[in-house]
Amino acid sequence: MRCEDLVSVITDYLEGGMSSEFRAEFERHMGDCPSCLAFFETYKKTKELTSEIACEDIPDAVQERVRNLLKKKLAS
Amino acid sequence: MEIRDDAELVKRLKAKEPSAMDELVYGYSGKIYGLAVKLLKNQPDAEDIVQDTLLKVFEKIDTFRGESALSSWIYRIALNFSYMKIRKGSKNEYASIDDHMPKFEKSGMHLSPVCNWAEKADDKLLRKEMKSHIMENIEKLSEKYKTVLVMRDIQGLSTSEVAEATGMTIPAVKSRLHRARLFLRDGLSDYYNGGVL
Repeated sequence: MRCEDLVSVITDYLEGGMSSEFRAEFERHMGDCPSCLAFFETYKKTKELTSEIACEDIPDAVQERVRNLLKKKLAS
Repeated sequence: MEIRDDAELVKRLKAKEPSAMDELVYGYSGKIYGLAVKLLKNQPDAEDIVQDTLLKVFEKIDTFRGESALSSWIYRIALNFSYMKIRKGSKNEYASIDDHMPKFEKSGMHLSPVCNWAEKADDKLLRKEMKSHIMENIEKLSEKYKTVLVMRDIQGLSTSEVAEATGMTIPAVKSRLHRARLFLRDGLSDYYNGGVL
């Protein structure tokens, strides 16, 4: 496995969509290549930090406005 | 409000039950709003998307055949309204994602050694700074990348749910997601190399 190959399949590795042989090859390469290990860990950290970003909450007033609009539609 | 059972909710929506309508509003308006704010970058437009989407769901529920999950159908309607609004608005400038892909030698090895800043990012203060850096860079992504990244990595939908909602194949979702993550990772690496971390 080359570094370029490893980087191209990181998503598959993280999602568990890999055969056990390919997974072992991926891990073997990471064990031998500090740059790939660094790349993998920083990729995973980026994903982790992104997942901690919250989507903006909908204001209650907006939610009620939409609810009232649908209520009117239901009544008509 | 938790969505209990899609099939049951659809049945009740078709029967025009008021409690089903409440379930629809409380169960989905927040999700639609969260996605729309990220895509449209402003609250008033996101409010319109929530309203237009739920109104359409309510009006067209009789045409819903259950071939996809209700949530995917709702997301798809919300995305269509969002993209229409984006097209009507002023032209956005996006980062060229290709410029931020990792570089390799002909042999397939990394062109230069890769710095490992992952552990440093565990520091509380830096973590906060890095997240705000990520948010800035998400703004620079075009809708096609932003949609997949927000749905998958921020809203926590599965890859197959994102595929169903966007009408893309699973490999296409994975590829787009991967490129978006590489772009964000590269931004953080630049941050590190600039001596901030």
